Amino acid sequence: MTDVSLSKDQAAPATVRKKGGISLVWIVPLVALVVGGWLAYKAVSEKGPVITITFSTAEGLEAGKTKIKYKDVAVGQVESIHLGDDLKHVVVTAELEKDYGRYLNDKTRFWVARAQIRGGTASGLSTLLSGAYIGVDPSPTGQPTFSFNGLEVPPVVTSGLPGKHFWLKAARLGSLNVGVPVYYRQIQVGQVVSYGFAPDGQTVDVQVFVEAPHDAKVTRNTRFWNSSGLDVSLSAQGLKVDTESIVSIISGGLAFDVPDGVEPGGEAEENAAFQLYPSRESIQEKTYTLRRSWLVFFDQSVRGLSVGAPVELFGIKIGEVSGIDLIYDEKRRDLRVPVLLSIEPERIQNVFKAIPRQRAGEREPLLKWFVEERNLRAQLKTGNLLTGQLLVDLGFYPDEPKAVLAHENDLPVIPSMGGSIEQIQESIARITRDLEKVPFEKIGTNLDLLLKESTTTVRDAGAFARRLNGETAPALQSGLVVLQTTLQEVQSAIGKDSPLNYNLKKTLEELALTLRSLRELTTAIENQPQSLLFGKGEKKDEK
Amino acid sequence: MRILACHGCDLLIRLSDESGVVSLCPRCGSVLQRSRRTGIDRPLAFALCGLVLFAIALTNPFLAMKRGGGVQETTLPTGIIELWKQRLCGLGSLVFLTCALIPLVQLTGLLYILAPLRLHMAALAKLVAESFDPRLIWDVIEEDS
Repeated sequence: MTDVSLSKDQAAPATVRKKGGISLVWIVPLVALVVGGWLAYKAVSEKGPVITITFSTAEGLEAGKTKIKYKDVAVGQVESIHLGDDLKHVVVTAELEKDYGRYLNDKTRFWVARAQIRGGTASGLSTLLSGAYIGVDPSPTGQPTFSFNGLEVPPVVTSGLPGKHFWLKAARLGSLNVGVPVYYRQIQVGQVVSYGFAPDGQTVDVQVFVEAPHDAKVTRNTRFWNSSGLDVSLSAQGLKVDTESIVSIISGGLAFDVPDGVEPGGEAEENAAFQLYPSRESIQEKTYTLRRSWLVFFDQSVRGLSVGAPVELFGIKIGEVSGIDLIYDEKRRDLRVPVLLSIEPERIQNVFKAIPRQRAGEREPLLKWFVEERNLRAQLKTGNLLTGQLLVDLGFYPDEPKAVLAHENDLPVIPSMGGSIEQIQESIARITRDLEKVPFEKIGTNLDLLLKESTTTVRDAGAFARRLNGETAPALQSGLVVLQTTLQEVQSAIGKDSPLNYNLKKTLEELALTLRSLRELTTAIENQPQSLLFGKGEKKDEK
Repeated sequence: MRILACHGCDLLIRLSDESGVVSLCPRCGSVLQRSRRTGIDRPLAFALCGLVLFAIALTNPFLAMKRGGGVQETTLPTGIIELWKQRLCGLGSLVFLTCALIPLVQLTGLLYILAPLRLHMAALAKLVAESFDPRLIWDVIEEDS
């Protein structure tokens, strides 16, 4: 018990010792801070790179929902979608997962994967149910970048696929399109990736992709041709129908192979360029590098002759028509049709060995010799009866009058000859003329007279016949009756049962008997010659 | 301040008002009293913890819907924004007030009051104490601090 009446001054101050330590309750916020810090760190460190992709439309894309997928694995998500500054594009901001940052370079491609049908196959059908997604084709190499231009259509070939690209040059696209298959021996080995105009704008460049390992089959001497649709050819061997596949009939196709008789050569490189031929047959044509140009002037109609028509020598193609014009020649005051021929002399084997010695100032001595000495002439002939196409045929015509090899515009001019049709026309004209000369009237008059005469003759002949019928015939008839009776009598006289026959038979029988006995006599005489004198002796008594 | 006689040696001793200290008799060293720690630590610690966890709760998604090909997550702020966007403004405001604003105010208020006291920043504490009417927060103030 204490007494509080004592004053403060008398009390001593207590010794104070602080209780150490911090209250345990501080563990709680500490733990909370640790957890919070760790969550925050995790969220920050797992944040992947943020990229922007520009598309022309945001159709099918949703902020916070649409995913970026590669091989059907989600690698990122769209965070927000905005319109671009110029209102022409849509800018999609997306966040990728952390590990994929190294694939963000300028060769990586993004596109919106929607359901579509292309190149004969349908793709992306799952997007009908689950909504569109953004597909990505990552490329490990390239300049790093964070903003991309999205493709509007998925690329045909992804960069991970092994194989090679090749470029084909064609005059026209034909029925080709992206995704059209490329065949080798009728097995699909690749497809068309893209097409566009060549830099000169005159031809079309088509890029195809051939998958490994078949890309090794494309060699330097390989030829590509357009195998779309059907190839129908009617020739001396009959009807031939050729196609690569049903798909190629509908949607087009390309094929490649090495022409017959040509060695494959080494493998073609990536992005090598090839010519696109129009058909399988056309790849067999050997290409020649040397070309000469010749001119021919035809004085007849060249209807049916077109550029590209063959020029043949002995029926073998040695070149083709490369130009047909109609000009007014002032000097001659005449209209002329110069036809430009493009000749490949290499098609004639050994042609360069046979050139006779060239005289100074003389051009093309071999051609000159053929034209002047051997009468080489050019003629238009029907190449195809069905279509009426003409071709230029070169031949040797010894009967033709001589001509000289002229030159115009520095090109040799081959003398021309009327074509076979012309000749037919001429012969017809000749025949008609000859026919006109025939005196048909005179022949007619003569014929008339002849007819009159023959009428008279015929009448006389008729009278004669009637007479014959009326008089001679009965006489003949009675004569025949008599003959018949006579024959019957003869028959009875000497026929089978006639007395003559019978007597004859009898006589013969008698004769036979006589002869037999005569034979016996002669035998007896032979055996017993004494019987002739002594007669047949009594038989020795043998009893 | 109180005066008592040590139970060991009967010395008259003046006790101090400090909290969280052990008072000993200067002469015989026997323990006179142990004063309790102030009750500031506990609410302060919890307020801090609450604030941290509040921040975490607000930023992490609490609802996710998997539909078709995609997953849609939502956090509290985005939920409130969506409610506003869907023209459910009353509901959105209510959620905002009860789930976000008021808890935040409470927690920060606690921190505001208690931190200067604990850190013995007397001037600051004075400022704080004068800035509002203490009758508003009966439940926080302990009787013997």
